[in-house]
Amino acid sequence: MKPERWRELQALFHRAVDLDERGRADFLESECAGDAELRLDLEALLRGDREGSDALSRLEAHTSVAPVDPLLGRVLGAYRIESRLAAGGMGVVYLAQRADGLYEQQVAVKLIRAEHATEWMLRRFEFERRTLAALAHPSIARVLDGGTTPEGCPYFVMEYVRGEALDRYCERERLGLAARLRLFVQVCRAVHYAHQNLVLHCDLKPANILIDERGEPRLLDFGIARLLEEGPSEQPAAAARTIAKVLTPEYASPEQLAGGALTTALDVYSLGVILYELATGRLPFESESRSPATWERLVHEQLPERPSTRVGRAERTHEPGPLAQRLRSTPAGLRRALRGDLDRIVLMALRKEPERRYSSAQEFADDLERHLAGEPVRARGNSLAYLAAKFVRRHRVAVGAGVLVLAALLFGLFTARRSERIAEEHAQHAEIEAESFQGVASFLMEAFLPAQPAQDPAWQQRARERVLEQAERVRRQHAQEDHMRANLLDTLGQVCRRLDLFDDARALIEEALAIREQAYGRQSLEYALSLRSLGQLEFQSGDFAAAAQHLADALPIHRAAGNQTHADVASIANDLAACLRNLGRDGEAEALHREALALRRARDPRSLPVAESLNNLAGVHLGRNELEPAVAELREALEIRASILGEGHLLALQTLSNLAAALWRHGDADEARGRMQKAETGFRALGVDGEDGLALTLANLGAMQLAAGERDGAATSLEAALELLRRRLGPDHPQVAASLAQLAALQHARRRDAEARAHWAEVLRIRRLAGTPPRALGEALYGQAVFLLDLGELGEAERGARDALALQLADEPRDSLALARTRFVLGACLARRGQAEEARTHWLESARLYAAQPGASEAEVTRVQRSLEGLDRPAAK
Amino acid sequence: MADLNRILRSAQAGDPGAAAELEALLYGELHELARREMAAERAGHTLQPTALVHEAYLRLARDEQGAFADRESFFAAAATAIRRVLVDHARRRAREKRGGGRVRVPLEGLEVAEPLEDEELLSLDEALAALAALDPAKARLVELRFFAGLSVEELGKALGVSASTAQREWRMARAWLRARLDGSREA
Repeated sequence: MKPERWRELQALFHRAVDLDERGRADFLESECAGDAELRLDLEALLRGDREGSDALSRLEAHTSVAPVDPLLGRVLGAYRIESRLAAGGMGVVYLAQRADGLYEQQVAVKLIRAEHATEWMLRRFEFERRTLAALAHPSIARVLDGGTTPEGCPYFVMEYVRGEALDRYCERERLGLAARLRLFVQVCRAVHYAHQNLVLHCDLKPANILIDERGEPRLLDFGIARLLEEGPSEQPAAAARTIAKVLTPEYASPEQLAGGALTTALDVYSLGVILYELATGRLPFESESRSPATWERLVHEQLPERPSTRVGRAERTHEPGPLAQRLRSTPAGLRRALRGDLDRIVLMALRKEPERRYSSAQEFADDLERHLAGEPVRARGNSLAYLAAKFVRRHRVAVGAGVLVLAALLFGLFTARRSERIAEEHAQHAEIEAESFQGVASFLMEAFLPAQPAQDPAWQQRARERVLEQAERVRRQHAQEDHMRANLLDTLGQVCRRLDLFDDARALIEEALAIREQAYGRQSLEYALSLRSLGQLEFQSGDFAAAAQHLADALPIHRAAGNQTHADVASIANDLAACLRNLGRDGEAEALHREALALRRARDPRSLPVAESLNNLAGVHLGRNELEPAVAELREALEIRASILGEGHLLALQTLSNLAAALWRHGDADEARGRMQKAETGFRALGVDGEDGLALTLANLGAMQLAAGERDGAATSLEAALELLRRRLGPDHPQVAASLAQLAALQHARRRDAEARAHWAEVLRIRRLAGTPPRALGEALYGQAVFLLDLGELGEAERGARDALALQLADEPRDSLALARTRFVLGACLARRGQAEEARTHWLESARLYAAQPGASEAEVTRVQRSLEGLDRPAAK
Repeated sequence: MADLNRILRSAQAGDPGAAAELEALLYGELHELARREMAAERAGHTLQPTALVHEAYLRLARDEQGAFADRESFFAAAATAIRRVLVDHARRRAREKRGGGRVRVPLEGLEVAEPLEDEELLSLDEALAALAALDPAKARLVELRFFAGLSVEELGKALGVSASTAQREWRMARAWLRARLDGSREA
């Protein structure tokens, strides 16, 4: 067939195919007159235009992914449907052309799906159409026309806006924060205009806000969602539920999701969500679910994170999409820009209660403009009492049920303020979330306390005043509700603890304890929760004996409470064990760590709590010089933490540092050194958050350098470590003493006697403070005795060695290696003072202990032997 | 699959070698799908050819960032590959039948739901070749519709015309094919 012929045939086919049988016959007659071949071809083609059960139909039925849209090409009113633009929950939007040829005009036709087209709606529709058509605002796409298809589906004809959705536009243009805010203000103004004309949008989202070619926003679909209301407005709830079914849950307000009354406040809320997204690149609430019920729960139960916090979190967890860069800013810059006013403005729009949001879109816009102009904004944060009450209601069990999960490091306990951050990150990992109170406390911190470093005393004072003020309000407002009052006071106590206001914290927590004791008795879980709060407080304040007592009291009550509290039991056992270790009660600590580990493994063999238990258990083993199990436990803990949190995470680095120390003591010096240096680099990269770890790592590195004979390097490391430790932990901390002792020994070896002497004096001062385990004091006395012996100050040395020995003999289980060493030094003092017989007794006992001790070094053993031989050959002397 | 994006770009730029490469890639993917289906021992599990293409697309078309390669070009190429797979298979089976074998050979171990008898498929293939000689664009459209399962809107996008044009073209092509198949049956 020639091309011309083929074209002719096609043209005829299209003209004839929609005619009825009679029309086709007439058509063939007139158009194919005198061309029999053309007529045959056309007839065959027209016969081919049918449905049937032949191969083609079967294949078509089989392959069609989407049925052909019968609307394409059809004419509705004055417009011919050209193509589909989008399909959404409510219906389909088509691009259409004016078909009457009066003028060129492209429009968008929105067709409401038949299933939504109830009769009531059709009546309502007529009325609404006129209202909508009257909306004339440069930022609102005009409704031009409307009608109903022969099948009974209502449709709107709207101005066709060639543009890009708001979010995509901002991304593509890489608009900075201020430009985004200015654009958003225009959107608010348009929404306000509609509200003044009594039209709600009800489905505001970036896809409904297009930015046209001139960069101006144009809002689509005003009022359309409301047409879906099922019945007369006496049943607003039903109406809202219908809307909830079709709207986009991410942007819907709580009252919309719950089927509550529809007011202008719901559009304000949706605007808040949109602004949150524009400013952070994230939605305030995220879920894969499309179910309104799920979203309703989510939106009711959670408070949105502050935008600045959200940006910080996205950055820390390396969420895809470097938002700050897209906003033409740096992460720190963006956080700074959002913190304060913008946080408050966004959160004000996102409040759960409609009446507590901005009273209009206009006010919202005004506040943003005030912010842009650098003027004070009207948005205020929530009051503490309000938030605390809200939180406690939702977290009845969780509140107070969490003990600060401190990662107890092997070489010291970190009670530093920065551990809050660790705990927060903990909480983001689901396993711990349920058993942790951090979410609440950190939230409370964030929500009311001015964002300032906790070290600033003026800030701490202001924060304290606010908390105590709130406590007073709690006592007044909840005077009759024991449960609530106790929960809130306990919560406030925890806030104080986190501010290092230990006395205030104790008073508040004990007040809550007394309420719970009276209301529920001393065997109740509530009472146990208060004990736990107290334990947590004393743990952090450094009074381990008191902490251990509280936690030991809380533990059996939790154990008795059964299955639901397994995580709590594990967590309390862990904390109690950490206290006991600090009191030198390693045997009990080990049993508790094993119990916690077993409970945690049963829940999930490879979780962060399991890693924590392994890490802590390794600490016990290391303390007893049981290096093989310690190394194995630390390797497993490291593997879990690094794979879940990443190698650079604080907790992973802590375990790495611990492992390095264990390896070193096990004799794997090369691997130990390499890992320790890796830990040092990692901690440095964390900045201020890594300082605690860095301090310990430097201390250990110093010890390694010392052993390798690198005395100068060792001194540098230890001094740097000590400075950090003193700053982070205070001058009296046991870890400060431990590092000072190392430095003292080093300075002694370098013959810097004055420095060594001063260091030892300081070590002893700290070790004599209350709460120090006898073992630690004994060790310090021994160390100082060695130094004094070397200087020839024999009387002082002997006194120290005797005190050390007495402590070590009283300590259970006895540390035979320490005893062997102390007896050797004491013997040396005595021998040099001429008391040979007593010296012999100690040396013999020392030799016996060394012989029974596989960990002793060859040099030490021979030293005792030689000394004894020396005693036996007095003549030679 | 970074490769796929490169091949698609070349194919769009009109490189005939790229088209063949893509076909080979898809053919391999179909075999792989068949193998996996067998391995999973999903007895009685049948896949529709179009479902196969969609699955192949999901598997092949992700690049490192998880973004999908250009959907239209992918399906354009996939349609040809699937058509070839099905037709080759039908031919082979037809040969085996003539050779007296009675065993129904599943497609590379994969039971593909076949809406058409082998003869019907082969006739359609011939008719499509004839249509391609007359109006290549329409033959292409049919191929995309039948063998890649594209909807009319997607056809419009793939061929760079409006959906309503695609719908008209499709109607004409279908009528023509049916007329031809009717004719060959009578003959």
